Amino acid sequence: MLDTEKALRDAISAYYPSTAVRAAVKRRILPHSSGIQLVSVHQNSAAIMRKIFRRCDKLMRNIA
Amino acid sequence: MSRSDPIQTFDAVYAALFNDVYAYFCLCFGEQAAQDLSQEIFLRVWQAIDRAREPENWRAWVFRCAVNLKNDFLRRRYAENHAQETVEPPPPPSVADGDSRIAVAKALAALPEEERELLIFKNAGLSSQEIGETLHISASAVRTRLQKAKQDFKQRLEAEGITNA
Repeated sequence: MLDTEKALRDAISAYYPSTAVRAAVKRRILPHSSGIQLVSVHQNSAAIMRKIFRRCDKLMRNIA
Repeated sequence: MSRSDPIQTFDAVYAALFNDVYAYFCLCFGEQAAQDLSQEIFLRVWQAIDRAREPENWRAWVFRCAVNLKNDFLRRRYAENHAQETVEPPPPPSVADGDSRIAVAKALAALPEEERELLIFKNAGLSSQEIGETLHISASAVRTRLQKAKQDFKQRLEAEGITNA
């Protein structure tokens, strides 16, 4: 018995990309993202921010 | 899909739709163009997420973009080459797991472009309504044409000697 739906799925999947192609295209797209991530914290936000800005400050001093 | 995590949203859309979009372009223009055009589509996906302009229905949105990009690509190629504006016959698939899979792929590739497009969209999970909106035809016309496309596909399978799949 010929299952046309299954044959169609098989036919289309024959044109699917390899895993390497899938990964390569994704790698080329994601560098276009800004790289900025929003983080939310429930507690100790002041301490976390102080730590982040201390690290930023250190980096800027090194650059200067 | 979470709106709060762009990467996670992108991953989900990519995982759900990349294969079908790539197969669509591959059947139209071959593997190299399929990579470039699929990349362009998913770059638009990323930009939509990044600018918080996510559509309600990613599947329909992505395939609408794919059809528009295919038409732009054809127009650009026509302008560059002054060639006849037709879709090239797709290349044979590069699969190595059995003659029957190659035969069904050939049967699909041998269909007229419009029928192939309808079958790919249906297989990708678009409803008749969504296909109609993508191709600017009514849902009932989609159903009628799909019926004929399936019939033609079946006949080509039988011509390839495939009687059970």
